[in-house]
Amino acid sequence: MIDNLALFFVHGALGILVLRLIMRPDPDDLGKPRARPIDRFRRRPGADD
Amino acid sequence: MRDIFIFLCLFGLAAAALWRPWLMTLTYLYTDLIQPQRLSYYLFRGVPLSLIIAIAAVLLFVTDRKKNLRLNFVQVLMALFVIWFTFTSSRAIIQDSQVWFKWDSAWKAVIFGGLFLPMVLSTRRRIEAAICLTILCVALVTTSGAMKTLAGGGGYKDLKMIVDVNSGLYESSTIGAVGMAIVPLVLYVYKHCDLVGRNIFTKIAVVGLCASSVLVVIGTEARTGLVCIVALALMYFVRAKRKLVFAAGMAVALAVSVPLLPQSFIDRMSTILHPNEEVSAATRTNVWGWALDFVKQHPFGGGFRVSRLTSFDLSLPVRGPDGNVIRMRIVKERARAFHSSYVEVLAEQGWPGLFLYLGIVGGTLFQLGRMMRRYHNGAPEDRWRHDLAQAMFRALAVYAVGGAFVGLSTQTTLYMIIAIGLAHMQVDATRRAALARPAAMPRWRRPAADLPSGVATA
Repeated sequence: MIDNLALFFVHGALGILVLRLIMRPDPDDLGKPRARPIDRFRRRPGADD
Repeated sequence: MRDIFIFLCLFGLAAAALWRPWLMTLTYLYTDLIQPQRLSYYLFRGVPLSLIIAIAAVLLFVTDRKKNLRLNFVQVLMALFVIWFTFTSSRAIIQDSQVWFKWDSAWKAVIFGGLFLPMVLSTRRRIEAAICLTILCVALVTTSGAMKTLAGGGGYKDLKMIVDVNSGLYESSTIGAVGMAIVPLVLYVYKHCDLVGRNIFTKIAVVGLCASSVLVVIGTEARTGLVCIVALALMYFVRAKRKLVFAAGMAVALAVSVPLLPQSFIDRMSTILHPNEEVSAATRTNVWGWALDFVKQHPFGGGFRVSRLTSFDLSLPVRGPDGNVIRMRIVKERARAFHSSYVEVLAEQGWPGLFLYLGIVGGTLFQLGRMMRRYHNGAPEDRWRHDLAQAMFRALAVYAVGGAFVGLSTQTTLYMIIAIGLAHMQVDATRRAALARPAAMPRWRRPAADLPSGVATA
């Protein structure tokens, strides 16, 4: 009973933590252009053929 | 029912990696610390969960654009430590499956917990998420133990926390030390972490987590835990601004709590002062002496699980009702564990292994101390850097003190604490490098938000 209570509390907190990690953007990413894999293959303007 | 619950939690954590791929690394650490296979009755028995999740974590790491490939010298020492204990395992005195069983858990703890984790934790958000995960994993065991202690179910070797095994976080002395080590991290998270709200519920949770770390020491009657409590209190006292008030508060807390403590706890703790009169304490001092003699003949160590060779006779006094010694009784001890990380590493890995181990722990403590001094009088926006370095320093120092009395040298929690400390230093080093030479830094590695904060780059 006590073990299950501890399991419930801790995993509940873990669930909230994971949801917050997903929902809130990383502050270190703010202000940076969103990188997309497709950008690596695009021709840069002015580049030689 | 429990199986389904654990499965859903594990699945949810792994599924979160779809949005945040680095969470797969934390999922691996969760499985390594909590060991869901042990919590489960049927579902996970025999499933190589750690292996599956580790492969997924490494694959996702390869695609991670924000991985931090900067290497700290402590990580180099860790790599050398793994090479060294692989070498000593190959020439272990007792060559059997137990040696390689311990080697298997040891290299995973050092490589994954210590070497790999700082590369993944490349931002403040990731570091704080790893701290929260560590706290919750440890809290699962401490809260269970604390609630049982409050319900009167404590006692030496009687308190079973979550599962009835005597390894990892579920071992009484280990959880006593680790439980105290997370207290500074809990306080840091409450003060600075933006993933945690500041409200009455989190305040209760913080008090509850700190109290459960103390209660589990009382419940398990682990002397290592008491030593860790004293070490932590001393560290807070040294840095306290009002030392007299702090000392008076501690004295009042002690005076109030001692009458409430169970007599068995007080009796067991009093054996710290008379180690040669109780079997467990006397065994430690004797096994340490045995290890020092052993390493004189085997300076390169005897390999993992060499403690099975220990053999000595204890001579313990038997006292009468008046307290006088009536006679001496002889207790034969065989194959006893070393009960100290340092002695364990010395006997198993020899002097080179001990120097590497001390280099890993001491090097991390030294660098964290340097970082604390760097930001001690820093700008307000850098306060968290100082406080995180200080929390990691205290956690590791408590762990190192506890490690003198229980074998923690291959525990994942040790390398996780070291890794989080290293990650904090690496993120700071990257930021300071960007401040010093912005043009030389690749655009994607330049920290965006805190570049103009104006911190000294020394």
